[in-house]
Amino acid sequence: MQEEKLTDKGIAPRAATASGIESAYGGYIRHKRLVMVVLAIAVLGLSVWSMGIGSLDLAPADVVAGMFGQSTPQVNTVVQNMRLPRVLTAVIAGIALALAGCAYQSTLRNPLASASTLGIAQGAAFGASIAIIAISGGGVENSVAYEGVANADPVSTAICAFLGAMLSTAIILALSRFREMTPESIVLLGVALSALFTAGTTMVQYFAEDSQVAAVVFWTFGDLSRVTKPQIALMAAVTALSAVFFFVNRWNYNAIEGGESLAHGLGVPVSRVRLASMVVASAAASTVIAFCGIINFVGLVAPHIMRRLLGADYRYLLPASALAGAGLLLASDMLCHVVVAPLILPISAITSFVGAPIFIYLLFRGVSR
Amino acid sequence: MLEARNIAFSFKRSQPLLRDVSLAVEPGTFTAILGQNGCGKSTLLSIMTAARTPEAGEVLLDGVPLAKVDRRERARKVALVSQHSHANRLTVFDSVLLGRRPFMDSAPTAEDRAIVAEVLDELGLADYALRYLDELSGGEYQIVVLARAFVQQTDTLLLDEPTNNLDPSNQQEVMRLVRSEVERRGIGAVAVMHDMNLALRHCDRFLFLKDGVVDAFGGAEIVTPGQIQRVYGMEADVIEHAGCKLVVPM
Repeated sequence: MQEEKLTDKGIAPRAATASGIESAYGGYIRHKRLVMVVLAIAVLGLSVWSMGIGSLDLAPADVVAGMFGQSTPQVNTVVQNMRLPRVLTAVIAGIALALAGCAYQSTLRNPLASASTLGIAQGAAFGASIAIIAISGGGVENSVAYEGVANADPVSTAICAFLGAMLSTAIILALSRFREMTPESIVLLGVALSALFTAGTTMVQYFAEDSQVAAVVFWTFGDLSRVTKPQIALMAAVTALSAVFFFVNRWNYNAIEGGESLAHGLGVPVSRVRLASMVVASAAASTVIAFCGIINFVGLVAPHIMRRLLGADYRYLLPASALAGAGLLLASDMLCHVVVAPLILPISAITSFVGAPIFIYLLFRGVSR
Repeated sequence: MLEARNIAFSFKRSQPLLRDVSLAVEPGTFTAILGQNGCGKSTLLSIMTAARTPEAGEVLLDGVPLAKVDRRERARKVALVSQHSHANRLTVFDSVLLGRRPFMDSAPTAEDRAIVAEVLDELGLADYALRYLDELSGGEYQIVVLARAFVQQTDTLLLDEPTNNLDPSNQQEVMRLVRSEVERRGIGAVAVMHDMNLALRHCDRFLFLKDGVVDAFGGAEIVTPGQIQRVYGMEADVIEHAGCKLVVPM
């Protein structure tokens, strides 16, 4: 009966409908690609706009000319040596944090997973505290926080921050391998580690000089302009490699989000993908935090915004989140520079001010995983 | 063909859950695994997909131990409809396209998309193709899950409580679609089930598990009041209605 329906009566209209489905799907994919192009243009526009803001206001045409050394020497210097590195830092850091957040949220199947909620940022802050206070002895003879940071060796601070962040990741992974923890337990473990590292940082600060404490606090404020060109290159390389890794695994993430048993049934090595993704995401986030300091909410919010806008298909969610992360950090950086100019506000506070209301809005609208 | 031979399994520090259980998923058959909660039905399915490793015995896929079969190769031959999949914000088309994952190199081909469109159409999901999974009803979602397994085009289909939480009409629809696939493509299907009447209506083989061992295995003739009493400890009558057996709890 069923066979008859499917073969004798159904073929012609079904073929027509099947091609109609394919055609509609093609249109849907084109729409997603268009959104990506618009996002990329928006990030580009925001970058140029951001480079025009400062004590020396520049029109977009001047910024572009300055980037290519075609403007006055003063504009060329300002754009190439000060603003372009800062904007590049914002774009790369935003991409890295958003991609890491996206990968955490997929592999742990938890919308709250990010470098901040998994204790990775707190691990970095602990590492930086050790470097600034115990290793560099920064700020012992100074009373001003900025001088404390200046005295602290940026290389050892970045290395220790990176090690602290990776230590947090290593503890999570070791314990999860030891007891076969569920993704939910891993996130809770991250919360516990956050508290542990924060306590460690507090203890280190307790025994430090005032200026050293101020230096640590100043480091945690985050700063996009302290990143040097070689550091930007390193950050870009790590981000690019991690982006390739995440993109290769985009179908695996789609499968894992549907459930572990589904992914297993589709031939996805779930544990291996989860482990590798955690390591790669942590390496990307840790590199950013090591150079820029703590940057909150970007890794958490950017994937949520794009999930709502484009759905949870990681083929598009990953690049869209990366662009959203870049845009969010660029916009936050611009706010840092304009709200109480000429003072520059701490980037970590501004990303929270921008990100938290968006996150609350998404919660009230009903966050979809 | 997928075949479990003399499987034994127990969780850490607990009584053996399965002892000497064998099941061959023969082409063109639809087997219902029946038994009380916690008797090891779902565990048997997870062993048959290599999600768990048996303590004794082995699972063979076309004569090769399942543990030695490449994951992708396994997924091209055995599909699993799990009771633990999640409706996320993926479109129906993309979710079903996931079923082609074992055949993809880096991205789906035009053939993959054509297979998905064909199956969506066959299963009456054409109008839902671009809707998100988390916007579907339970019945619609379960048919999407089936569609995903169908596009895997495997010889064997394993279903873990596929009609859970569905209303009676959707239960019938899901089972009818599986039955149709068994008849049309000659695949072997195994479903862990609780509803004996649904099983009697659509399945042709029945495996009763009790205390970790196969208590009975055969056609509809083994579904008797005595068998039900022994496995479930409940009184029931088994009657004939419109050429089909019906279990009537007493």
